Amino acid sequence: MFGAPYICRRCINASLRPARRRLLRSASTTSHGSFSPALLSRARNLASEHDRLSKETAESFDAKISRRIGELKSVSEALKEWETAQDSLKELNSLLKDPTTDSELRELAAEDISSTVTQLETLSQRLATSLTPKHPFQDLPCLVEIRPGVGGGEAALFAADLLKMYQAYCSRKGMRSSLLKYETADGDSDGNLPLAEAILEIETPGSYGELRSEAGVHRVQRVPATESKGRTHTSAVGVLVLPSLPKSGSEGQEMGEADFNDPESDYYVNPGDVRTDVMRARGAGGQHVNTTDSAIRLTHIPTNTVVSMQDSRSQHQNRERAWQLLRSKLAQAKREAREEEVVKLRRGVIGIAKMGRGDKVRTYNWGQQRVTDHRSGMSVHNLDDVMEGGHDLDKIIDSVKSWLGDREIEAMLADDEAAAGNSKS
Amino acid sequence: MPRLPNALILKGYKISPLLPLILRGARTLDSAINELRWLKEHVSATAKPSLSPQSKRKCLLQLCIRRSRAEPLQYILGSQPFGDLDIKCRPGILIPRPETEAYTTHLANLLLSGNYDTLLRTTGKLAKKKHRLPKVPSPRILDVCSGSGCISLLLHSLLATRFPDTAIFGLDISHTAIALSNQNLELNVKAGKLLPSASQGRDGGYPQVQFGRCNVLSKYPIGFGHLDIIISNPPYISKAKFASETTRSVRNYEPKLALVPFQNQPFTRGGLEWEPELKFYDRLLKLHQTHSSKILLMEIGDEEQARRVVEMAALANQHTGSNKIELWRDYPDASPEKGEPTMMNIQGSFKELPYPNVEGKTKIEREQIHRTWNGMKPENPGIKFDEFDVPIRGAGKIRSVVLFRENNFRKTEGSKLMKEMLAMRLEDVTLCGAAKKKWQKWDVGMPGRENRKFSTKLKVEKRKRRKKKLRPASF
Ligand SMILES: C[S@@+](CC[C@H](N)C(=O)[O-])C[C@H]1O[C@@H](n2cnc3c(N)ncnc32)[C@H](O)[C@@H]1O
Repeated sequence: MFGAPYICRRCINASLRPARRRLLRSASTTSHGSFSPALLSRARNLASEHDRLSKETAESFDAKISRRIGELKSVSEALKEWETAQDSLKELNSLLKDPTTDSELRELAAEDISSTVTQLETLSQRLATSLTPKHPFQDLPCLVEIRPGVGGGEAALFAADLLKMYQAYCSRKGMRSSLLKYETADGDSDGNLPLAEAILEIETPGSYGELRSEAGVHRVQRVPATESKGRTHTSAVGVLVLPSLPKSGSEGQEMGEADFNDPESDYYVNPGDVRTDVMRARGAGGQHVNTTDSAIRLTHIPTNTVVSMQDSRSQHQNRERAWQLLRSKLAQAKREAREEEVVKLRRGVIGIAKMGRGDKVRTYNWGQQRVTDHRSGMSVHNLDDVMEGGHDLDKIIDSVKSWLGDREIEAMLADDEAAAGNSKS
Repeated sequence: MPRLPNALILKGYKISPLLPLILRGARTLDSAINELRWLKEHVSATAKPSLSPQSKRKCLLQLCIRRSRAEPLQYILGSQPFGDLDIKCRPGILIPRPETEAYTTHLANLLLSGNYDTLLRTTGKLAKKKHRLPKVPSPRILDVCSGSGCISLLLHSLLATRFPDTAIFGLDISHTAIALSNQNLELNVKAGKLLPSASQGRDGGYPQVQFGRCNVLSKYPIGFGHLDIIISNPPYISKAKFASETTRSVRNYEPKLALVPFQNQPFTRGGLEWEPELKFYDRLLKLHQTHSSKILLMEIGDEEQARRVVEMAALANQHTGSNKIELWRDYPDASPEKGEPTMMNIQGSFKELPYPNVEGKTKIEREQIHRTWNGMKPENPGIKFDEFDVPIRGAGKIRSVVLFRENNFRKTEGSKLMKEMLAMRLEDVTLCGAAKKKWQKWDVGMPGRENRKFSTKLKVEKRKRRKKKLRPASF
């Protein structure tokens, strides 16, 4: 996709937030608006690649190359602006240092310096943003899988609450969502349905980027309705956010047919590797029986990934949904595997790649009406609003996003330093 | 029907008090849980919003009680998904089965793969003269025993985009079936699941899917002109198996007419005796021959029946040019499970009926005896063929016998048969409602003047032949 081998697997948000600005400064070795040399040299490499490719396509057109140029363009532009600003700052400084400069000019130069410094700060942020490319799934729609963890029936009830929370959040944000799979732990339809597993499909492009930070273990502390002695229980629900892949290349935003047919691509699933099981009628089948079984189970043999679908009366629809889910799971797994490899290579920095799989990310405490995210450290005290998918949920999600962005840059810089260290030794 | 284990009922009850009811109809917990959910969805989708939750629950309970008496869920909900179509179901008409969906889809995929395009290109004098050939070769399909219309409609939905001039005819004996299949046609067009050409035709042409009423056992269905594909899910359950193999829900609620052929005497064909429930296959094979269709797909009941139908087809093969015979399992595109053979060996040894003693009978009596011995048409009695293997595709139970015409049917043989059929003065297909007029325009070369001439000529020829004791070598 983009950039040097590892960045593309990192994820970061497009806009810089205050927290990140702070981090940028502390992480860089020199004054405002400066970059670590490694980061800067990366930018220069990419920019020169951009120039070289642009020259090449001037002679012959190639769709792949021009796509790449599009990706590099922002780096190249941001770098140019940053360098211009940097140069003028240097010039102004030398003017100031020059004893022959007259006082009027000196005054003007001093004024210019302060404005250039602020400008440089914005420009370096822009450069940082352009250097930290989008998560490859950023623009995709997503699937949110919710499963109760420890805590039995109470976990199942909380899972249903979380599902409602995300549904409300989506409708408030104008994101189209529908239930792909909904399995209740109990057949009773009154009140809250305890959940065995649910998959919410959010069809709006970019919802993966919006919600991917929701992945992880969500913990609830409350007195269950069934608890007679009024004791607070702690139970947990796992949330998984998967990219939802368009059914065919033509629908895809950025992916071409090639991505589905290219075995190297994350989106490729070899149909020969997938075993389909259907519920078969016992006995003679055909006209002899009229059962309603429509369940489909797909097994991806190489990875032993199993998905099953039985929500619809239509086997056809169950099959389609199962394939959609399987594709999503496999794409996510492939990417995670590579991220993990990168993390292994990196020394000293905690990987965030797998963050969320098994880690406790958030606590919902009924007694204190509090919701705390353990990554960003943010707490809000309006639990009801959060559970209704309201603005307080936005606050939390945004705080996690910027936290994620920070880890992102941290990791990037650490990698640069490690790489620099390696090349020296 | 074995009793449900108490443990299962209890387990169901713990999940929902309604489950034990549904379990009696659905038989397994997994499907009972799903069915309860679908019933609930049905109630909340169909009940008036003004209804109180309590009366809604009463509604639901009512439906569960119906299900507990083994009434098919599809009749309770009034529909069954078939491919991506929704097929309306009602008592009196067979519920579409998943196996039928599987082979219909598989057949469509074969046609869409492009490997059969040359097969579909109509050749021959008949085709050129009597049809204006469509620019893109498109299949003309006959669905015999069409029931709810599911096969015809699914084929149109899968094929019409690639083959814009697809024409599909469905035949059924039952008025209710024809009415329902026409409804299903309209409903699915309205829902956007089928192209409008299915019911309105293209550029002012005829509807591309038409259903007509016909008893295919007594009347020889004609009037479709050239046909590429014949597909059928005929009634195939024998009287004995109807009692022993069908489930209570099928036996008590689905129409016997759709399940058990009403023929009850064994019949003879080619000097051999055949079980009564094979009568439809005999008819289908003959249709395949007279129309020189390229593919014939017949659903069958079990392995034993498959073997018999293959034998019947092999006999027919001897006279009418070769057909490649295949057997398809329930899921023809899946790879075979462990232990599922991929070949069936057919031995050419048949028990022949001894030729009856005709001494002292009049000529006419003799002819009658001969006819009964040999089925409708005189046949050379000594037919045998070498043993051969038939490939079996897919996974699951053996579900259909498929014939692919390999070389074009010997034309002379074909038209001779066709003429003979006409000579039998069979009545025209009885058509239903609005389709009637339009369909008759599809009528090509059927009992017009020309053909009447044919039949008289043929009668004369036949008489001559009888005198010479010549038997035409045809099945
Ligand atoms: C097994 S059902 C098949 C229905 C439908 N094609 C399907 O697959 O669901 C058989 C159908 O054949 C019809 N049928 C029975 N005897 C017939 C006959 N002699 N001629 C024409 N149709 C007949 C029945 O009405 C019934 O609808």
